Amino acid sequence: MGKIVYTILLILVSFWAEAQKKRFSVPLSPRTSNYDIKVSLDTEKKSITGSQKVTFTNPSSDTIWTMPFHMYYNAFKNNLSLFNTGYSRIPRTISEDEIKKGIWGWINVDKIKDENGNELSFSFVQPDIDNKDDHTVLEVQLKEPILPYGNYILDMDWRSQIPKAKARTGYNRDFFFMVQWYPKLGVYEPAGSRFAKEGQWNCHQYHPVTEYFGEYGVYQVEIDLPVEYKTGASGFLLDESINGDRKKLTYLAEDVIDFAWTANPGFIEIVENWKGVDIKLLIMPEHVCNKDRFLKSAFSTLDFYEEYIEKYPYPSLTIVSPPFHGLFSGAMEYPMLITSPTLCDLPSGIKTTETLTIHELTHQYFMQMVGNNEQEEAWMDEGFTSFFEAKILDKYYPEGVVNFDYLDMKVNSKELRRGRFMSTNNPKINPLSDFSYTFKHGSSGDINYGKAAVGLMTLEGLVGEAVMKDIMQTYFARWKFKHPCRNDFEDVVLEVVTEKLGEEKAIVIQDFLQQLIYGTETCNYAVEYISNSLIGDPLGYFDDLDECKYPTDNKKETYQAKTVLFRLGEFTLPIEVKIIFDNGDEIIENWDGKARSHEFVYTGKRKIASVEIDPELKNPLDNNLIDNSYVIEQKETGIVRYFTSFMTWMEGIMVSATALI
Amino acid sequence: MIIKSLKKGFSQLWQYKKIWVLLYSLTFVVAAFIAYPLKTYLENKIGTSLMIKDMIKGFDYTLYTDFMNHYGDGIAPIMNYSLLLIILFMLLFIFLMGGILSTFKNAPEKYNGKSFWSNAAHFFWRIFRMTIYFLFIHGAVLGLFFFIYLKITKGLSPMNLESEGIIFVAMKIMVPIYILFSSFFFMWHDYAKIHLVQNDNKWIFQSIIPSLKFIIKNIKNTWGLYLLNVLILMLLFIVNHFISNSFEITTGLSIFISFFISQLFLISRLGLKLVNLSSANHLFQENN
Repeated sequence: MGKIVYTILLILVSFWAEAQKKRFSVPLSPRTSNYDIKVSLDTEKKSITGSQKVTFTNPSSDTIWTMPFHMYYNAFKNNLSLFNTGYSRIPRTISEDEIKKGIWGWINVDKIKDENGNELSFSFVQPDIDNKDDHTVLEVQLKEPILPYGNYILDMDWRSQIPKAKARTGYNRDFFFMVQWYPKLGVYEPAGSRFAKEGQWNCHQYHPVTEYFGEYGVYQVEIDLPVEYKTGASGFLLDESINGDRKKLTYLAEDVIDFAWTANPGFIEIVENWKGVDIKLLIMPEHVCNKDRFLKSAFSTLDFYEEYIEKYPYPSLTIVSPPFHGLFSGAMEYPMLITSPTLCDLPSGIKTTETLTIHELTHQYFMQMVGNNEQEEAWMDEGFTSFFEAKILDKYYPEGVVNFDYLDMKVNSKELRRGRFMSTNNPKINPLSDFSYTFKHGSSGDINYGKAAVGLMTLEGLVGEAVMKDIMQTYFARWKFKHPCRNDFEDVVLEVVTEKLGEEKAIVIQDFLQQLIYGTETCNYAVEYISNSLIGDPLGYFDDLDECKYPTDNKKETYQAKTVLFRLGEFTLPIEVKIIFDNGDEIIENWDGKARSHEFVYTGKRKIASVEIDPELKNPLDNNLIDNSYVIEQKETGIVRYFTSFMTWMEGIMVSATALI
Repeated sequence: MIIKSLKKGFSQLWQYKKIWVLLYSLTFVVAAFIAYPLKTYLENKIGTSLMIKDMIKGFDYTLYTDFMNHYGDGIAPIMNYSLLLIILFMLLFIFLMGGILSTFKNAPEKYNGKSFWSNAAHFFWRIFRMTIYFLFIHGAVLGLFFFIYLKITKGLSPMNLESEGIIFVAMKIMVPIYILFSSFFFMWHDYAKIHLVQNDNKWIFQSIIPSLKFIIKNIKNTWGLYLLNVLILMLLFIVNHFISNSFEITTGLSIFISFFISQLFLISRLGLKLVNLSSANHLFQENN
């Protein structure tokens, strides 16, 4: 008996010791908003009941009388919410049958008390758009104010009806993806931080095109659910107990801006370790074939960031590969938990699994550790992650992200990202500086992901890879576990460029950032033509009217070799121009790129053979790379290849069509 | 009987190689007419760019996107023109079909141009009408399979499926079944044409119904022969796949070799089409 007790005790102690090891001895963040949540999942009714203690530390010298909470589930409460009106009122995923049965998602707070037991009043408010049917922000009126730099504790009881398969969240069948599922406190911005002129809460309604913004803190979450469910969550497992057919799991996530969890009895759990970090892959049996692809891409990403920026600091990372019927969860990022859908039947030449894993894992750095406001400046995480996604993919997957040998097709991530942005119907639709929640007509993806990523690639081209790395390292070091805005990023860029490349370059970069962030113009430089004119002898009368100069046979073979460049776009950049002469000479010229046209002229025996703007492809923002070069002697081999291939395809189509005759 | 008919098919292919040459020449010329405007367009728009060197290696995504974004407007007219020429090609092929089948039927000692062209004109409208009818039949078969596929996969809706496996499994099972099933209708079409030319029927239904009866009566031979022809065609595709992927295209010479191989493949496909018709014609004659 004694031995059994001793063994149990030993297990408990080692479990406790393991858990303690995973806690941060020194907080990484200010831990402004801390949550102690207890939640019970009813898998039959698809509902949860919860209670939470929220401890908020006033980060300012202000006295605060209200506290706003995000009530994200209420976006799915009715068809007139701000979220649903953005999706043409009736969400596509709600069937007629479901509407008749009244299946909607919602969250309802039953009771709020302060530390002294005062019951507090609350009501829905609409800080962005006056739509009384939108209940996604709840404002609590405090009876006692939050004093400057003081702590304040709230107890809340609430219930939720989990939405069925909504954007990023909800359930389908027995798969639960629980994100934005609890009343989440807004972010208090003291005067001078981000765009705040005076202290203010930042708590936007749930807009259809944007994601989230949260304050750093510690989440301790106890989840009560049926015992057969496999779970994953932000943070690490602190405690687990089983009581009959239900179990209680307690997770701890420190220094994070949010908490997400998932449950599904069908998950297979694969655990690996990367330099002390537990990597847990929750995957469906039918997707296990791709487990190595998930793990390799995750490990590569972590390796990359350890070298490029800083080692991943958290003790765990959960990758959720949702079932096919759970695709509504999308490819998303939450602290220490990401989703990355996969399909085993997709050709191995398509690197979707890797792309999504790398992209979402990169969000652990940009948006989770560097906590920008996704609702206002989504480009500061989506653009950054898209930029790094291309960098990581092209480093670790040089074979390309779309690769079909038999079609001679190989597309790498950087060119794919650029091509997708360049192919958007309206690349001028919004400046990056517009608040993201105001983006309309599909512009969010094009601008926040595409333009920002290609802009960062161009910035790297202008300053060089080494300085870009310095910029990112400085930005990360300065703003990790804080909430930067675009001004803060610009400041870092200019500071590093001034230090490393000098003030002149910094002026160029400042001009570039102005155009990139605040402008909507596009960039296009072109080589208009090359001319090589023979300079003849002087002919005709000059000083002496009695002496006419006639052509002679003495040909000197002197040429005026000239090339004319056009600026066709409004976005201006300094550009390099490579000029190759017929004798093999090569020179690099520089043009500030400001004027509408520019020429380079050379006199001598050499003729210009070819001209190439931006030969090192430093400026992927140039929307037409074809007209960036001009060659006197056409090299037709490439065109002949296309001609013969096209002709062969047409012959094949025609002969195949004869089967119908 | 199947092998005998197949042998006959190959011997008639060689015997009337002028028809083979004619079909290939027609295909080549029409394809050249289709492709030439693209070549001219590419030369005019991007011929002076250094980027065209990237075209040698095959598909270049950046070149493609920038081309389509800036010069893509010129592609649609070329595609429309291509479609018109393909339709014209098909009409010409329908026209030639009467001549081809009459030659196989009458089996003159050598190709008789006068008879070929007069029979082509003689049967044109009837074979044209028959083609239209069979287009509807082929469309209906395809539609039926698509409908069944959507039913099995619950409209391809992720929300309604346990996993995506059914989408791919159903496709892997249904595509071969479709090929097998639809081959019956393609074969029926062939025998209907043969019946039409053999009997010179005025109304095409006088050929469509009896040819179906003929196929069913001789199902082992007719379908067996057809599937054997399909098998030979598939082998040809596999051989071509391996040959064309066995070398990289990096120079003008390799472009020429690749094009030459593709033309040999095309000539072989046209040859097999004639073998199929000739062998079916032989089978029909032997069993009537």
